[in-house]
Amino acid sequence: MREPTFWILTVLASAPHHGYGLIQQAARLSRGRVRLQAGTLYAALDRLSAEGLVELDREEIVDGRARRYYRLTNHGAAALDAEASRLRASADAARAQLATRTGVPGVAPA
Amino acid sequence: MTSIERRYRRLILAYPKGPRREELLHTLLELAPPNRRHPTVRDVANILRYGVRARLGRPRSRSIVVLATLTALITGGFGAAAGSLLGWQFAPGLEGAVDRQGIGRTVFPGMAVKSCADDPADFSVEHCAKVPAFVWNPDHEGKRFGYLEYGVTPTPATRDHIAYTNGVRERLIADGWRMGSAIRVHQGVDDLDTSMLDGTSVPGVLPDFTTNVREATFWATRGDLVLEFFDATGTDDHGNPDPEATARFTIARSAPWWLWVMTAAGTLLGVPAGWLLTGWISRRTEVSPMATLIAAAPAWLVALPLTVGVLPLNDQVGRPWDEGFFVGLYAKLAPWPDLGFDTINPIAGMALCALAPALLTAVTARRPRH
Repeated sequence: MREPTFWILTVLASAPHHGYGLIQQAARLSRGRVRLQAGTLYAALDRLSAEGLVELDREEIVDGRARRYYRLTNHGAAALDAEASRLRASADAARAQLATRTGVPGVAPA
Repeated sequence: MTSIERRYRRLILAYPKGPRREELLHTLLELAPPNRRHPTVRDVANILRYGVRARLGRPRSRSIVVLATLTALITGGFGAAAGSLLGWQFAPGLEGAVDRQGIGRTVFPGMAVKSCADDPADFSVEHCAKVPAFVWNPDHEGKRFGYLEYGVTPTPATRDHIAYTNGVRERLIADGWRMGSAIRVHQGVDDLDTSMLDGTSVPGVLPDFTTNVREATFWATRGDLVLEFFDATGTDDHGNPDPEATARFTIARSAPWWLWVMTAAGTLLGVPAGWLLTGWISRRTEVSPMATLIAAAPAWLVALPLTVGVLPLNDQVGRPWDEGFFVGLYAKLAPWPDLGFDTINPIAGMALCALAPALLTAVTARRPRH
């Protein structure tokens, strides 16, 4: 799973979002590291919709503009959960390796 | 409407019609800081990239991108061919150029220079009055630029073919011609199946044999003309001393600069046309696996052969390379009567055969919902 996909699914895990809200939330949750471009976002939403990981939740009219909200499907939640587990396992493995590293300046054992 | 909104509205035209355009526009406007007047370069690149991709539909598919790319190359090739053929309609005529520029006097000073207008029996007369852009090669193997031929009755001077050809070369250079090739000399060792000096073929694999034919030739260019000079003596008929002695030159057009512009314009129209057409068919057939199969199977079948077939590869041995390029383009749309295709070009025909079921399926398909 690529990073933009991961963060789109992560943002949608808590509640449905529209495009602008999704970009803002992804930036906030990733502490500014992920700044999705609008074109990238909607291409990813199209692909994730085709894969059944996200779906259209509702449309609202705000200030005369139609907003479309997207939500995570159960299949999407399962995919995100699997990816989070994979990342955690990778991170745990890295930390365990770092913990065995002794006598190297700047790296403290866990 | 603010200036930034107007500019974003133009940009989102990269996407196909549908609610996505407005959705994207509103997101872009919400993301833009209040003082922004122009989309950033990053915005433009991102919208164009994903908009062009969105035109193909099928967001999960990578093969549709490959197919659209090949189709765009093919339609770009046909666009180039159409642009160049249109351009050739406006090419300046060859008739009278030799007399106006005194070329006959430069090549054969003090001699009576004849052309097909003077002596139809000695020259090819099928295009004497009005030279078409493309004509058959002398051996009827493939085409070449239309040309007019001029010659003199051989004399002892012209029979000294090397010396005379060198003299012609020097006179042409002094008259502002630029040599396109070194003088090539035929020493009588002949391939049974080639016409190397005519530039119509390449060396074959059959055994060589020796004749009495000796020939020298070169080509040169000045302005929009290409001159080829030939001086031959000897014969390959051992019972006859010298019946094939000839001293002659041909004049053909070189491609004018605006022909390149029209060819490029044809390419620039053809490439997006192929992409958009593929996208339209893809989106129309997206919801039906059967429609997808009917539309895509013939296209995939011919995509690679057509991509190769549409390339303007046509090596004109011994003549300017741009002639090979334009003859190659011409061959993409003109009939091939020498191979039995009297009315339709087989490459264009193959493309139409692949396109027809896809178009029919797309036209009759239900409009996809957004």
